[in-house]
Amino acid sequence: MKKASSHPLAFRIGRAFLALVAPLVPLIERRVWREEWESELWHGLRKRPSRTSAPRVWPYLRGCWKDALEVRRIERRRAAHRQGRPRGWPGRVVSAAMKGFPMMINELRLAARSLLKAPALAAAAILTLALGIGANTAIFSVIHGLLLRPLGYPGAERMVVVSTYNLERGLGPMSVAGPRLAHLMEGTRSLQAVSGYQPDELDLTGLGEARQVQAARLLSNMTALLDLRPQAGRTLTPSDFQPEAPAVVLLTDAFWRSHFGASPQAVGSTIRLNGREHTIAGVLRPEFELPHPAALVLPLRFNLSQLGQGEHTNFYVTMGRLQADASLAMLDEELRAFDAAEVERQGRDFGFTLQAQELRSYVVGSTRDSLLVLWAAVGLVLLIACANVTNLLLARSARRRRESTVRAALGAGRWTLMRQYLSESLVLALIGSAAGVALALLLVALLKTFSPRLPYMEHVGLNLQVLLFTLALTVLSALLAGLIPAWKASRPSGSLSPNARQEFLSQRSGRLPALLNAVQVAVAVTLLVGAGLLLRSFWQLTSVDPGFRSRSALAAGIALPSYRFPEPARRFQLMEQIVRRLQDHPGVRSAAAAQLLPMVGGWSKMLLRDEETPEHVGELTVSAQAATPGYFRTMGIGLRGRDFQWNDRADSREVVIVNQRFAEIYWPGEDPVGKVLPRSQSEIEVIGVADDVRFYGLDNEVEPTWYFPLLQSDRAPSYFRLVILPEQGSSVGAADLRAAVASLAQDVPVDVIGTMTSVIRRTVSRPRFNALLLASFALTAALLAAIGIYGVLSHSVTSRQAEIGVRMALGANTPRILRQVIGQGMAPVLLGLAAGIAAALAIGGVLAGQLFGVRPQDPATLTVIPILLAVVALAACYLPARRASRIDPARSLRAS
Amino acid sequence: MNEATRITFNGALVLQALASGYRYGFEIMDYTRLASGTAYPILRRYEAAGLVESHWEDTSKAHSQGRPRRRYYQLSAQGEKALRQATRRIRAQQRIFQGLEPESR
Repeated sequence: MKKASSHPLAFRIGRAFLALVAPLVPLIERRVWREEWESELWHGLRKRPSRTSAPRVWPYLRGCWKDALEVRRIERRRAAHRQGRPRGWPGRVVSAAMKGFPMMINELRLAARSLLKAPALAAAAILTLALGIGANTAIFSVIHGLLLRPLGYPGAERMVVVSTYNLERGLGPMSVAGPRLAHLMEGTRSLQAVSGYQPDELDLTGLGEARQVQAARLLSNMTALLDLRPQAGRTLTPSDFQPEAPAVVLLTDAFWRSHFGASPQAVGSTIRLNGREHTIAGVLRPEFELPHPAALVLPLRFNLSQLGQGEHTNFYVTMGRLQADASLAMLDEELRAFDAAEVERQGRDFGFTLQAQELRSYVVGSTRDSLLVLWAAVGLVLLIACANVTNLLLARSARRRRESTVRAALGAGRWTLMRQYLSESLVLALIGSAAGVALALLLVALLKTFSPRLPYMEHVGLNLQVLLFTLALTVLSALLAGLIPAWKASRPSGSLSPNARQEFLSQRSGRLPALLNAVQVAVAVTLLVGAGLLLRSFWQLTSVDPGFRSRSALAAGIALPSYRFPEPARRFQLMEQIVRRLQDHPGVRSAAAAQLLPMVGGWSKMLLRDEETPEHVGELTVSAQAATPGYFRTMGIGLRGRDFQWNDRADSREVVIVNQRFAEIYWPGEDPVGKVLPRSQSEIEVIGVADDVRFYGLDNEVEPTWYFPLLQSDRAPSYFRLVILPEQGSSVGAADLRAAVASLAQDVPVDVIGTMTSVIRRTVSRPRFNALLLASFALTAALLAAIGIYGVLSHSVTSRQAEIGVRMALGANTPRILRQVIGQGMAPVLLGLAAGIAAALAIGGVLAGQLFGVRPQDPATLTVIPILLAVVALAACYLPARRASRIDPARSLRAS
Repeated sequence: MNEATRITFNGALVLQALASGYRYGFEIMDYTRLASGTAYPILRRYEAAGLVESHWEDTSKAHSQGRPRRRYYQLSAQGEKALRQATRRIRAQQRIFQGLEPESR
């Protein structure tokens, strides 16, 4: 059949265009589609008179690609319908994944089998990855529990805590006074709701041993801020907050479990708190939390309108929730305005300001910074681990190139090859992370046991989010460690010749392993320097003289609650009796009572106004302590002049003992004993000068201090501390203390704090913990780096056996070979040391906030650490070097 | 396929062209003055929906005339019904353009 077109050229161009578009059409329909369009084209051309033909056909052809796509779409739908496949792209992704899954499993299985042929390498890689991933998982679970976990409040991320600060006197954060809270509750633009609670310690009696429990007393509008839904019984209702309402209490989940065994009988029963019977109305859910740990929740029973007046001028921990469109900055501005209004109202500025911070940062505080440093550290450890695995895989990849060449010749694409090698590193990473998770469980348990008391620690654990993080980290590590070796291994080499010489020469993996070693060393140096700085700082801290010498003195807290001992005189009397009883106890050298003890917690300060002090002093904040006679002897604080006596009471002349620092400021160069201090209506005589004591912590400055006789206090304390100093070698302890107290007053809770040694240790527990943790990471990093150096050099020696053999045969002697090999191994180490020192100097500032008595650029640390690491690296290089020097030239040449 | 295919304005044009006796792809494009990227996909869709049928010419007859065989389209019974409904609807809508009250439903 002859089908000459009327316009052959135009026809041919049109056909070419159709041929170009045709691939869009599914294969089945393609021929028919082309035939149809070509036929139309042919007929379309024929219709036109020759002068005006070809341009006219173009509009008809122009949209043929749209037709092609439509045919494609229809065919796709038909095929999907035929096979019962899901239509639409989400369904297609899922079905593709499900189809690909068995393929992936198969690849992983192949990878595992091939790894089994090199068990030593696989084991080493798995162990290394387990260390790196495990450490990261452990630290991340802490970070998640403290910093990332959504808090159990409605609108938790907008919760803030408002506190009172006095920046001049260095006070704060403190609770907010009732009147100020009342003003806040009148209405703020930025806060949706604001309320407060009072943390309290209550005497719990009748349920086993008498003890004190932490509680929180809520204002009635706290229900808008907290999730008070019960899991048993009921929650607080507005009627519970009425002044004459019956006494009820809510249990927290933890208290319910520990004291009532989670029994439903608890609801409706009563417990005696501070001597009063309280009915248990319900049990709160486990998600309930407050910034202060509380076992019980009680309502404050007064009308909210009375807040800030009369007896309801207490202090409250103030919480609020920001409006959806408000920010912390806006709230701070409003608080500034509140402060200004307060100053006007009071007539003078006492220096108290209100400031707000996010709830989480109020609770977590400074822990955040040290946690982030630790996270960076474990991240670096993982990096080192991946570098080691890369080196291990590189050694293997050199041998796999031959295999790759064969497979490539048989038609395998580059990506296919790479995918297979990557799946090997994925298998290693998966097994390593399984071991790592087990390691992390152990680490987290250790952390929870030995760490200083951190907030939210009960929420730290391996939960879903942490495990997802671990999975992501695993895949990332597999990629990081395996990418370069996979790339190198899948590179087909030039020829397949079985020439052994050529093959083993091509086993060299280039300079990459050495470079990785340098990186490892650099990272290890940085971590070790950081750990060294923290350790030195901790050492400096512990060598500070606290000011008292009686480390073995035993401290305890005693509560004489006012509901049991309403008479102040009785409380004074009881206190004196207890101290005297203890002093007379055999085995006790000295005993005393005090309002506060150094470093045990709490503060007590007084402001001496400008008018009250001599000109050269100005305004002075003084630490005010109250103690009984014998305090200074018991605590081992040096005293000049005389101590308090039991007849220094409220009716006798007011006396005070000052510390050295106060004396230097107030009467420089003079002896303060016998001098008189003017104070309100009376005068106080200075009877003694005590040595300086670092009351608020080893890293705190010594403050000017006044000591008053405890019996001369304005109000008899209902809570005070006891301290006893045992005779040398006597076994007087907590039991004797309790017995002595019990003999004078039953059911008085005694809270044994411990020896002063343990008190000091507790104050430094956080720096110690941080230092030890960082040190363990740094040592792991150093160990991994050393293993890496050894591994790379060892492999290099093995692969260069013949070359070394030749050299020896040509006359190189043992020391020469040793020098050469060690030089080869140490070259990247020296590079890494230099880089590490530079890095440590650069980022040392990060640790500056946590250091005490040590600069981040401390020259001693920066010298000793690199030297130590160099020695370790040298040892790691020596073993392969020795092996190289022992090579028998004849044998090695034969082996090649 | 049992889906009710939406008859657009352009789709109605194509159906009308078929009803008016135009059978070949380029002819339909010509008559309706629709772009090829519009008309042909409509044809495909309607064929898949069953409104339009297509056949190839008798090969031997075409070749004896010295030309390639052509594919021609025609309305099915369903298509005729759809065209009737569409025409009614469009006519009613066109009354709006003429400022007339739309027909009562």
